[in-house]
Amino acid sequence: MTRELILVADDSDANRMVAAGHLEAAGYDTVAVASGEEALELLATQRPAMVVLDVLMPGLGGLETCRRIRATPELAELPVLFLTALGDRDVTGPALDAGADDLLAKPFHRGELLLRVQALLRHARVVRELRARIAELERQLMGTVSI
Amino acid sequence: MTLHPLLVRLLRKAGAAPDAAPTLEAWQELLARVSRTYQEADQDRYTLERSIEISGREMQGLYQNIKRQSDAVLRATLEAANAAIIVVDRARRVVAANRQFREMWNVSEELIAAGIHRPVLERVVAFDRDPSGSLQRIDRIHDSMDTIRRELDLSDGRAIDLFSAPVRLPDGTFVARVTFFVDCTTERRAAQQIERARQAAEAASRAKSMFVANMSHELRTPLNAVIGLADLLLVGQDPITARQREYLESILASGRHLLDLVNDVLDLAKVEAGKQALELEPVAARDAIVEAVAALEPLALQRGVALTNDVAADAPPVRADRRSLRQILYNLISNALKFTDRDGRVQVSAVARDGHVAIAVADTGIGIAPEQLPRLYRAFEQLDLPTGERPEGTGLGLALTKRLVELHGGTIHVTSRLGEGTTFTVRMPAFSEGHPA
Repeated sequence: MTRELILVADDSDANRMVAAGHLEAAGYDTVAVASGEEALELLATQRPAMVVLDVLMPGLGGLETCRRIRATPELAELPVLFLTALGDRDVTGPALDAGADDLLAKPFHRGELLLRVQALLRHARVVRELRARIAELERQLMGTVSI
Repeated sequence: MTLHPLLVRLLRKAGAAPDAAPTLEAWQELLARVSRTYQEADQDRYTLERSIEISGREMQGLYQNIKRQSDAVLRATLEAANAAIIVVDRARRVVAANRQFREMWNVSEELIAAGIHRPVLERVVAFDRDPSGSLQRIDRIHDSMDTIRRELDLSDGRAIDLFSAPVRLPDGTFVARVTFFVDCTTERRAAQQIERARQAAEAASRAKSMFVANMSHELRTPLNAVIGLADLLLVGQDPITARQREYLESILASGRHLLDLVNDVLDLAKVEAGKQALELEPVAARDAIVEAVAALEPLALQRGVALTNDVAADAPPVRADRRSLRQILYNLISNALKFTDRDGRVQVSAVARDGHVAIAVADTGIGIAPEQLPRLYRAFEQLDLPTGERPEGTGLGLALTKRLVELHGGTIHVTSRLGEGTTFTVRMPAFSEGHPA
């Protein structure tokens, strides 16, 4: 089975290592970048299964990066998990507004990170399957009507 | 000739015989009587006129006396007032002005005595920071029925409170305008100083809180790396020695302790900066307590302490922020567990009491000495253990708990006996339909 690819964006080298390290150890492939701009650049050519974003990054911050991801039709359903060292109440609302699927406070617990990642990937899989099923049913329906 | 019967009667009194023509003697006697009567009337009129004249003069004197006296009382009253006072009538004549007025506005007694308002007014207006238009404005006010209150800020630095009102007779006739001035320079300067000091203190407190909040973010970022990387090495595939494992576990434990500190400091700073926004809603005390007890059950087991709860079935919901209430309960219960020895008990109860719900956390722990009680809620002050050890924890838990309780409009108090146990009682306002959250 191919390992799922997760994009990690965090301006802190050490924290990039932590998130990517935990994900790798749990059996995911990761690609890590240090800014929102790099994350968007990468998404133009590669299609990871989900994105883990730091909120505060120099230049394009996590919130704006997420907004741009959501504004791109082919990325609109890409799962986005925020990691933040800000107090959770300060940033929950803005993060959800920007289109985040979930949010985790730093320092996070390894187990919690992995559970949330699994949950988001599972949801994305279910959505993909449902879409495929709908498309299949629509095709069948069109076939019936045309006969 | 027939005589008038009245004249006949008078003639008879003068000696005339009845039924006969009156004699000359009788006529003469009558004339003499009439003349006497006239003279007596003149005398009486003179006496009467004299007496009226005399009493008129006395009345005048009496009136003057009374007027002088009441004027003196009025003037003395004005002099005794703790305000500068001037009374000006409709014709713009100065009716009265006290010594305080003359001193406040540097006006001579002669100028007041001259009684013309305009020059007096000009002296007053000269102290205005911006005298343009002042005379016209005061002129307009003078004849109005308005009552004026104003704080004057004079060019010489004095602060004067002004109160001006129309003087009206009982029938409503407007006769004059009276104006009171009170010098409140000292009071207002003191108030300004207090206000400036208060603002400075608030700004400093806000700056401190902002700094702490930012600092907390800056601290959490590297802490995430310390905890995360130590954790990665511990669970990773790379082989490590027993000693390395021990060190890594110590790094992890220290990192988590530091994280607790940072979180408590941030919470405390938020509460103190007034930035802790409570989302008040009805929260069932029972549910909150059961949840907190369940979360701390592992710690109770580990410490060998029996943790039980006893919540009155009819306990009404409290008006609280769910997250804060959880924090309050968690802090109190974990504290109780921390200071209770093996085989001890910690019981959490809740009862309704006149508009409040009293939540009590009672332990059979080591207790608190009376002299330690005043330090209980101070940030960063941990009480000494009888063993001389330093207890675990950040020393911020109770400080934060107390502030959170008070933010809800609740109270916290403690009873304790050294060696027997401690009970913390938190009174939280009950939620009622009539008092929306």
